[in-house]
Amino acid sequence: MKIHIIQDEHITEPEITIVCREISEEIRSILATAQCKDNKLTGIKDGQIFILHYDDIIYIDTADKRIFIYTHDEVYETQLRLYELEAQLPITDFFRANKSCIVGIQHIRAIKADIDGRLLLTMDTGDKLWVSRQYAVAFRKKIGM
Amino acid sequence: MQHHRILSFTAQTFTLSLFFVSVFNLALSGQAQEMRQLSELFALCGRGISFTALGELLVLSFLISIARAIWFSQTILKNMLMRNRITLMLISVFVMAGTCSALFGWFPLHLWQAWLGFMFSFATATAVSFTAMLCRTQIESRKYQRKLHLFQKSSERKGDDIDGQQDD
Repeated sequence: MKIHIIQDEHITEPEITIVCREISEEIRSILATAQCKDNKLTGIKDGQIFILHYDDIIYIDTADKRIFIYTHDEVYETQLRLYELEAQLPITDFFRANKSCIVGIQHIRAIKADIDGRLLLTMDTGDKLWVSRQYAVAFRKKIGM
Repeated sequence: MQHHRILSFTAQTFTLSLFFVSVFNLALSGQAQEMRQLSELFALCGRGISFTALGELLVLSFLISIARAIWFSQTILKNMLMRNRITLMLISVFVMAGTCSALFGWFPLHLWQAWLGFMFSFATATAVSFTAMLCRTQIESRKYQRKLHLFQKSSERKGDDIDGQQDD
């Protein structure tokens, strides 16, 4: 892999451009490391890579073994695994709701307890997500119940 | 933890059943003599509940708690729908209450009026339990909503403080 570093005193914010034939594991790893430093994730939509700020992420869900990032208006796919995302995202702003879903706490509009100990979340987008009994315990602690 | 839950639910069920039996005891105190002959549960009708009846009610409460622990367990029955769990629970309670009634002589099995009374009591107890459960979840929901709102507010404030420091 060739690495070019251009120093320019007029640049206010560092910028990384990756030129490649395809997004390999190695590039994914570099991207993930770079994003960690900046409260950002990358999501793929229509073959293009988009930078997503943590604040914009409503929730992350799994479908057909693929991971999708949901924002207010768009849905992006990510190559990172759910456990990698969970490790990367700040625990104060996100929590694991069930085996296939990570939720942005600031984007929960309403919460409803169910008779079997699960919790039903209504997100800002109107989407409804379940917090399983297993993960409800940690969630209760997090919000101080 | 599971033992604690079973004991706790046994206590709740026992209290509820005592309440119902006491209400019936008071309501039927006018026919005390007749009730004493008909049912072991009302052996002291108008004067209280006998120790034998208390023990029998405790046995039933414990059995119901065991059934609850099984049907609502996420480890024994992992992928069962909630409505199926509730249905199985109701059937279990009905069968166990019926069996205890027959074994302990709570009502004369040959009288249809007694069966009608049993069905009525069962339906009332079920309705009261469900109403109590719904009320509890509603109170819980409100508490969750309040705590979540406070958490969101405090996180927002922390975020604003960090942004402010960065701007400085």
